[in-house]
Amino acid sequence: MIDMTTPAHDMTAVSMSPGRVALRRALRHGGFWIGGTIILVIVLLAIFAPLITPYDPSIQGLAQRFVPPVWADGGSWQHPLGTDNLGRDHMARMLFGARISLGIGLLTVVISGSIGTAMGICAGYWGGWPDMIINFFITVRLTLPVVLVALVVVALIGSSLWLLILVIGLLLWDRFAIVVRSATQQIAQREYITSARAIGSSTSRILFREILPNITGPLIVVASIEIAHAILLEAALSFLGLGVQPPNVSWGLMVAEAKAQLLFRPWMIAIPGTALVLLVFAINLVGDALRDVTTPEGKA
Amino acid sequence: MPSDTRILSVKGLNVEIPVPGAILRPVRGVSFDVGRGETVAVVGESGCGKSLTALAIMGLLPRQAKVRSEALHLNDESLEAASAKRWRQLRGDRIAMIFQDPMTALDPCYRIGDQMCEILLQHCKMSKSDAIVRSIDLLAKVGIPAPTERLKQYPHQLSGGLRQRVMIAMALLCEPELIIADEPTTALDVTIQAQILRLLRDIQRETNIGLLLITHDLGVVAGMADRIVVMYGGEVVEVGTCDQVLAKPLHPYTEGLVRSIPVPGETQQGETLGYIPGVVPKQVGELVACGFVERCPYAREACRAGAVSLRDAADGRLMRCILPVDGSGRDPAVWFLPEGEDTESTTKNGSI
Repeated sequence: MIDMTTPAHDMTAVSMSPGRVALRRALRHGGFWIGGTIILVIVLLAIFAPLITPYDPSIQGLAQRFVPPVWADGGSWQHPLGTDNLGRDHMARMLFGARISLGIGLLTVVISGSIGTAMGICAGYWGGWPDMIINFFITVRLTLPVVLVALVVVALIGSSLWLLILVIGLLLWDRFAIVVRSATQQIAQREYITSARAIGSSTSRILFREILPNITGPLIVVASIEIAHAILLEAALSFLGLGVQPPNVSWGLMVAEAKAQLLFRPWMIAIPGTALVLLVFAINLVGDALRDVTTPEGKA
Repeated sequence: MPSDTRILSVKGLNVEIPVPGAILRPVRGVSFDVGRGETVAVVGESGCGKSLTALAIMGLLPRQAKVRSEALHLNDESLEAASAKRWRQLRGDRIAMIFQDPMTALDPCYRIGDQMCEILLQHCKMSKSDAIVRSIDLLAKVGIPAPTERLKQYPHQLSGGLRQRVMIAMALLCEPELIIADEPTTALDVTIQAQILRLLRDIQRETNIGLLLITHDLGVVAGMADRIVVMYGGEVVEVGTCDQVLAKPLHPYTEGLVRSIPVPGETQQGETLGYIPGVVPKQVGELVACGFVERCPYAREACRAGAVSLRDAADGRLMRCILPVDGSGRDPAVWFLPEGEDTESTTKNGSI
């Protein structure tokens, strides 16, 4: 029996926002699941670090030096990932280190993303001399070797967590600017931008309400890649001793501290190293999935 | 036309675009008026400056383009003197524009309702709930079924015809005095074209707004326009009422356009249609001869003597040609010559 009262199309059911469409596609993407799960676990561990471990990451216990992890000979569940050369609990350090590594990754991307997006939108929308000036800045930035400049600045001014975030943030905006610029150039050609002007929209309204939402796709992808980039850069700087300074702890710093024990207690360096690889791998997986999801022709 | 009913008055409009090594002049001294409740069609083939004229009136040309005019008035307010802020107030409120391609003229990121309400919130200072009611009213008025549901949809969920209806509804939101429709039906298929044109005509009659219709399709013009402005090479070459121009074109270019349309019931299958040889020349520098001389089958020595000015023809019509205004000395057969016999007119187009 056919129900004649229901309309052929339920039009409200298909009215999903572009964001929800993207999310639905993402949930069908294998890479998004794997990467997303890893990131989610790491983020949750970082957030609930004090609840998971009873130890303070900077409390030393000289009687408890170099306790091996639980799976090695002599390990115990008292220190599941062992202790380091000063007897600090490795697991506590990993958990609290994740906070700093993730925090640096996110905050630097907020800084570099804002700078790069603003520059890219202006260059792409106006073209002409604003474009030339911004392109000049992009070129100048590309000629600077990031690690060396960061090292010099940190060495000259001295290292602090906020300075580190600022320096990395101010150095990584180039990819945002380049991608946003070309995305904006494409969008600015569209008739709905002319249409927005024809209904009397102000320039700032066009830039932020019309263009910005339409370039969110590429922007999210670049942001995910740049988070991984920033985390690696922080690890590299910390490894060189000019990044995160004790008593703060980051995964890069843990790798640096463990390098002397590389031949004798390789687990010390393997644990933070593996964690770093896993995190960056997961972020890249998600970034790749987001690219597939946000481009219409991408495989969903 | 009495000046009290005049909404838009364009006089001596010029657009100049500097390119490396030259200055393009795609619009040269264009003048026309649009009255209240009147439909004026601007016709001409691609590259004649129709769309640029429309964009110049809307103040939407890119920065590089320079606009000069003797007068550009909307209701006796000079648009040339308008500040950027005043322009923003006028656009969407007093003048609205309907674009060619409805597929790209709506922002894919926002629901139809949000895009419509945005205009009302900005121009009419309406409350959000009033804006929604008005949007639903207008969607219903332009013949969109289930307007309340459509309001919540995104542009990609609408067909081309529906989107163009939405564009028309958006143009009508603030009850403008003038609507500029830039080839509003070019991107639509023929049945939808007819619907959209009828809708535009009905709405225009009902609300008594001025409609400036830009098109290259004389078939569209025939059913819609009160007056026709024919443009060629950036210049107005003929002005007249719709019936006059279509029945008895004065300028050879108009004649060529009219001859190239099949007439239902008269044109036989297999019969050759007329065509105008050559393409529109690049609009660089000053004219030293009639702009159409390279393609005109009636061209003679006198046509190359100097630029031709727009002059009064009979019955209030205007034309830019040295041929007699009574239409004598014409032979419609010239448009049906097979290719190869019109060597003179195809040789040197592109250089004025």
